[in-house]
Amino acid sequence: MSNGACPDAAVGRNRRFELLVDRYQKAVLHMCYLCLCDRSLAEDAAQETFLKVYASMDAFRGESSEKTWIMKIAMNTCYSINRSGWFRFFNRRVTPEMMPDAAAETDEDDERLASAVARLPLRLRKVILLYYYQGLKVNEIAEVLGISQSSVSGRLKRGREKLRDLLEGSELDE
Amino acid sequence: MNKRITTEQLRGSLERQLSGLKPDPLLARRVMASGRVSARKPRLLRPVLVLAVLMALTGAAYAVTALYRVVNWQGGITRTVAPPQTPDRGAAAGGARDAGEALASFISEIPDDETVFAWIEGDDGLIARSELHKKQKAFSSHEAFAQYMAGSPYLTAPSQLPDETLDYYAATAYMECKAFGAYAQTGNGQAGPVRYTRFLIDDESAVATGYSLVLTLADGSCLRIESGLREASSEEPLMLREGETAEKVAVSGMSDALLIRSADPASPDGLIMRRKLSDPAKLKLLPLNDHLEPGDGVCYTEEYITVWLHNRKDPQLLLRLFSGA
Repeated sequence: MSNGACPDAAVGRNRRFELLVDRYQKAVLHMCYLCLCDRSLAEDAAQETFLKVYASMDAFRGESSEKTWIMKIAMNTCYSINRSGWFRFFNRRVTPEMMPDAAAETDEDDERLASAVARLPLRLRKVILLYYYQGLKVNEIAEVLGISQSSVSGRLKRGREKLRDLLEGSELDE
Repeated sequence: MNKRITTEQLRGSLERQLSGLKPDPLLARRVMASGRVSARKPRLLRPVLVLAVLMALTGAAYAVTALYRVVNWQGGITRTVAPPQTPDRGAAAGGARDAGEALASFISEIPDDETVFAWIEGDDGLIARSELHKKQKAFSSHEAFAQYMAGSPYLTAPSQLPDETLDYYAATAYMECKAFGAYAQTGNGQAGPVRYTRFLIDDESAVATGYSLVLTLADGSCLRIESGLREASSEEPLMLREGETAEKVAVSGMSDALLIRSADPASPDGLIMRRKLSDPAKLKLLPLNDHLEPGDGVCYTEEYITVWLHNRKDPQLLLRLFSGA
């Protein structure tokens, strides 16, 4: 938005942004958490994701779905945090604040399943989460992660196999 | 247990497990108020420089294969957690590395008395990397450092160093601005790919909120001590790696202390401590760009200290550093 944009345009833009935040904030926060395994970092990553969304929403041309676009930004943000010395250092030695206390009632299966997903290598975890948790299609995941569809399919297969090992034989539906 | 897990079951499990993570109802408003990409909460950025220095000194690169065990301040294991994984390598990683190097090069040229927020934008116009350089003061002798720290209301310096010849000594204190202190935003600009915002905090308004100290001894062992202030206390001081144990110990002046010992000769032993501040440190958060109003503050309530001794197994040395006993 240029500085000279009319007030109505600004209001419309802000309203659109509020809707995006309402619609996707929880998904982004959960995905960031599951990728970073740290509550504070996940909250920071979610905020940074929406700062970027707000800054670039005028350039979004609808070539992908809103969810794909936002997830791509979120995953890139997590990727940057993952690479920083800050992340590596602090995850080694400072308060982890890892799994948040669940507000809803959980059972042993929930914990087992979530724990198994969290133990997947990041490259497999991202694909499994985007596919099963966020409901994205293979081609959308390929766009989010910037990899080929065949790579996505391969990682999905390996992720399911790894989960089966971690869950002692229980398998995810394909 | 051999059974099929449906997508709905997986979703439901994750939703319930993550139900404690609540969306921020003010997020949209805060983002719109900031108006620019770089107007982020600085929480993530504050310790960056300290850690960048430490990373450079230690070359810390940690294994991420085994599960971590989370301990409490009693030394008891509370749970195990999966470690973060190393991300994929590739062209994007190369780009990020280049951006990181450009940023590190820029930061290395900043005078000690400046506080600078610097960042690089990616091709998409979004922030690719960012770093904070804090106003700081370097010391090459422990006498000078200890004298400076004696005047610090918030930080605790080691009261006794090893009684041996030091091969190397370097300490740096990092400063922030008091809540009612004064600072000047001296400029925004761009140098090559790096954009930056610079600040000068008045000397009278600057207060040390962290330090790093590295020394090496003649036998090749290395001590690394870091102290920093934190906003909230935590019952979970750290994560143990495989082969490490934690034992609660008493250290003079500290609220809690854990002695960490590693069975691996190549891994350091350590001492993790915290001290409740009798008088919380109220500080100012500097606006990270000209779209934010100054005035946001932070209140630190605790000092958190980590000590790591590399290439030597000597828990008594660790315990003597702060107890002076």
